[in-house]
Amino acid sequence: MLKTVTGVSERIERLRQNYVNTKPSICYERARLYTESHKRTEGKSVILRRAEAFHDFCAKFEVRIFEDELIVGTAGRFRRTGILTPEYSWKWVDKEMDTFPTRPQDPYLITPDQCATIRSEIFPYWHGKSLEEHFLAALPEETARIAVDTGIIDNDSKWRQAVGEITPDYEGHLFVKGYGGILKDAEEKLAALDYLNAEDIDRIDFYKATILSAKAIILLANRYADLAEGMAAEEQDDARKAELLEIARVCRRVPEYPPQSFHEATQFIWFVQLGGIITENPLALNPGRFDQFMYPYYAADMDSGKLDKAGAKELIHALWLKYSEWVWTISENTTGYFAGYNQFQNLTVGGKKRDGSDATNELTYLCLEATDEVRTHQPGLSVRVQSDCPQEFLYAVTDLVSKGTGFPAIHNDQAGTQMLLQAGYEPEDARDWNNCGCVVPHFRQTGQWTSAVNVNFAAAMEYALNEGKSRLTGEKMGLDAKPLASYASYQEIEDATFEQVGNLIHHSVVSTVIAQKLHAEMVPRPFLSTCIGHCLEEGRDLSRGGAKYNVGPVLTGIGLAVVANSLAVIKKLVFEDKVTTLAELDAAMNADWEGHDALRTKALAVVKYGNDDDYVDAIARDLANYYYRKTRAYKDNFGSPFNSAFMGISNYIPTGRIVGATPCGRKATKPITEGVSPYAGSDVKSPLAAMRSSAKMNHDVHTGGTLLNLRLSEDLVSTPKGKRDLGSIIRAYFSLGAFHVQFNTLSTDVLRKAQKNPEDYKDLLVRVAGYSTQFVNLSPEMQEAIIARSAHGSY
Amino acid sequence: MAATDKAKDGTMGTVLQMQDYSIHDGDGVRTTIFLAGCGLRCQWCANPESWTQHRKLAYHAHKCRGCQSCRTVCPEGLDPAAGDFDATRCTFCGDCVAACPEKALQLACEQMDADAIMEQIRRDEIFFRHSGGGVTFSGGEPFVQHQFLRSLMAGCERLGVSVWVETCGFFKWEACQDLMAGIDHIFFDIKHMDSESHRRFTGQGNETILDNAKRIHASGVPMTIRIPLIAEVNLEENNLEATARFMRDHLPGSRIELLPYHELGKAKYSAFRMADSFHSFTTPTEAQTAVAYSIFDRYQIERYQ
Repeated sequence: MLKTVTGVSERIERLRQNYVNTKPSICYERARLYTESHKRTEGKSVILRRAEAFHDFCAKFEVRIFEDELIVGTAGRFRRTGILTPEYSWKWVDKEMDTFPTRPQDPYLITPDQCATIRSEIFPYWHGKSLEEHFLAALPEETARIAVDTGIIDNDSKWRQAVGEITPDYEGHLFVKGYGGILKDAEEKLAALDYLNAEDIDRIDFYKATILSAKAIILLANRYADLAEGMAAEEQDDARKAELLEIARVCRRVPEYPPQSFHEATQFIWFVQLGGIITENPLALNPGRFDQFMYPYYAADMDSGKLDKAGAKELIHALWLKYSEWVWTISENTTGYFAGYNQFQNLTVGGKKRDGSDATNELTYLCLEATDEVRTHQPGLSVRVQSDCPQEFLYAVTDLVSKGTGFPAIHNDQAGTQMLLQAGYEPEDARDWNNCGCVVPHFRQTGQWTSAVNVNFAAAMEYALNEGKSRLTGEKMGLDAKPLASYASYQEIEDATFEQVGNLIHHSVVSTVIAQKLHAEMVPRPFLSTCIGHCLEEGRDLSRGGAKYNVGPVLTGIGLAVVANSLAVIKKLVFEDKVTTLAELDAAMNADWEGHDALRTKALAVVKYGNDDDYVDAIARDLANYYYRKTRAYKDNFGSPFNSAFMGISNYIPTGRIVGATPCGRKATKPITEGVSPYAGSDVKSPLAAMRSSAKMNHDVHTGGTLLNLRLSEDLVSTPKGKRDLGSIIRAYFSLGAFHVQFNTLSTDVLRKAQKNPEDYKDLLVRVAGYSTQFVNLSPEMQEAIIARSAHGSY
Repeated sequence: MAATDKAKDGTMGTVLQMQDYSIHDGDGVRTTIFLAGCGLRCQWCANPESWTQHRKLAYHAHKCRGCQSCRTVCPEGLDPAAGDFDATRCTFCGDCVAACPEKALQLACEQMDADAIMEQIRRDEIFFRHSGGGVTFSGGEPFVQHQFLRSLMAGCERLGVSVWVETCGFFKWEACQDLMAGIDHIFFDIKHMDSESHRRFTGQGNETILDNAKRIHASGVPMTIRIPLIAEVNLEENNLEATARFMRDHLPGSRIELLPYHELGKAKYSAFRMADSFHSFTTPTEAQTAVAYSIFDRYQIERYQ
């Protein structure tokens, strides 16, 4: 049996064991109820059809309360449920669901009977109706060939999936009004509209959809209340009976009315999350600044004696488990980019208040402790560290780092605010930022595609060096380029590489604006639009720009370090030292370095990004600046400029698979690099040098976020001095203008043991890239990539 | 200027390694600079390549995959991977090191410019500033290259970087006494209070060392006395009592740190072809270390934290 953890109640430990030991299962109830509903509503506007389908689900789904639960509600029949959303895409599910249980990354349980039912009763209705089909039909051929399941530019999470990427506004909207209030507001707005005004027609449908959605979530909560009362009547155990009655009372109140206690607020959050999951199967539906908007309820309950710390902790633990139990159902291709059953629900603590004063409070610390205690992979815990933050807070942060869970993601508060100002936010809102997904600075009244496209820089370089062709397939994928041997100078090669990056940016933008247009037409978001007050004010859906801020989509560059390292090798060995020729280098790469060991040794010896050497770091900085300028020059369908980012996710592995050998010494198909991190294993000097290299990128202009992952030997943070010193290092790194850093502090030894005996290490969390997940839930390839990251030890 | 002149005026010296993010060598985050050369030959030494300042070629057999790249490139026709490698014929040109794809070969005791070291310190300074750290000079015995140390310390002073030193105490006081004013803290080894035992295990008696300890103390530099705790050498109560008394009588206010013996340096002896000089000792148990500390507690000598 798995080791138990300390600091959690027996109940939480039982819930935790269930979470760790249960494989997620697909439940098709949501897809079945949505399909039946849509058959009935043909001809109505799409936003109303979606809202009616949600209402049908809330009215008909057989709700369950599981043993030991304090916070209730699931999107399917299982505690660990994945759902299907055929209105977005059903084709990949049709193609892949038979291998769901056996695929290497993120398998789901599904029976052949379930598959048969899905194929006969659900999917036929959606033929020709899904977002995926419309998107693929609309995409121009020249973009499609590099953008669909290629690893070159990848945005399938925006046409096989819903967007997610929202932070519900609890503080200023949901907790103030409750869904009863939202319902009343929508009814008043609706009453003032007139079909005779052409512009009112869409708004009438919007408000009708809002009313349906609000009624639906209130109905769902009351059905849980009914169930809890029924179960209480049967319950023999007095303590559990009392709990069930309290659950019933809470579900009668929230989310219809504003919460009046910490428990009610917690359940409210979960119902909102559940509404988001049911309607969209979303990525990155962020809790946001939990320690801020929950604090008033915590403080009031503590003052009145209604709650003690242990009770608050138990509710937090229960919520953390809820965030972790459900799974984001994704394709095998997407699992390459977002591995580890991750839902990217980012919860941010610390930082500053809107007025600029210190925001840390008791709840901030409880969140950090809870993440250590319950060891769940969700929520993604982020901290904002400001230059004048309390030393105790920074110590609590590095103490959590020392536990080796990869949490928290550590962010420079000032850089985050700066990024939001640069993106056009008002100063108070810019100070009130939270993270979206992994490392995107965000704000709760925002509509944005924060992870719109992954752009493979290494592929772009390959096309510059290989006559526009993929080295692995020989297919022409990039712009025309001349044979490598005919380049006359280093600068010419650098320019050609940047130009190919520019071409990928262009196709990324094309692919994104087409998807954006289809989203506005086909997949409105009536439920999540209830979470942003501005949508309600304007009578406009999120997908049509209803939020207060509509920030441009984020393009994530992948492989910055591989490209900088490779260009440095060409510059040094070919043009400066003249120890090789372009022709020889070309032959070596075509041979995947086989038979070119001596040259490869020389290539590996050229200084690599991450060692604080301007020779190569300057190339990375120039490429990053080019990427920013080029990306920023495009505008999306709402007129907002696109944003650049160097964030993580697990995208450096699938993007590497399609790139042949690179001049830096990397072999074909091996992983490339994530964010602004060095190539795994090549930051040989120290984490401090890696930080100084990373800080040379102008983080504040990459408004989609930047990411640096480092591994630290665990003995560097095993003592109070080590923890304090790491805090100082973080402060120093942030004083250089950098935005994010995150540490894995597990020894290679422990990871090897976990590979050998996965049964004993089921709850071992590691940082993948911008998020943490269970090490044993990663494919062997991913595990090796994690182990390959340099572990920096002290001397 | 010829290299020998540079060594004389301290603008160049022999460095084993510069290690940033050192957290066990003084306050805060420090960059430790290991300077080569030492007059002691401690049998438990974990850095035997630091005994002399001349260049050396290490061969890490466990990394070697036998590709023979090194033999192919050697201008002297030597085989650095061979058991009978003749170091006297090696010119330490480094060609084999560059050619080795497995990083199985390594040059030690490189000549470095003081300017290059200062440039690295300048880069690390941002991390010192936030942590209260600085530079720690270690070795070898850092006072052996006192001219070089002097110019590096002058550079640190210009940057406002704190300087700590780790010394074995065996150095010429007259040549180094002017440096004391620039040192913020000294870790000072006392390996044995009995001079004969000291000579048996380290090659030298302890008279100079104990004198230097008193002189440093008199010059006002805060001190931490370190004892490499080794069962066969210095663990007996009499010796530890004598050390504590010496500290009480001559070094009041200094602190104590006991460093239990480890064998992490063992692989270096074979890599540098010094296996004959390797001695194995016994690591004291945690209980023995605790007892040793309690002796210093009795003398009200504070532990270094």
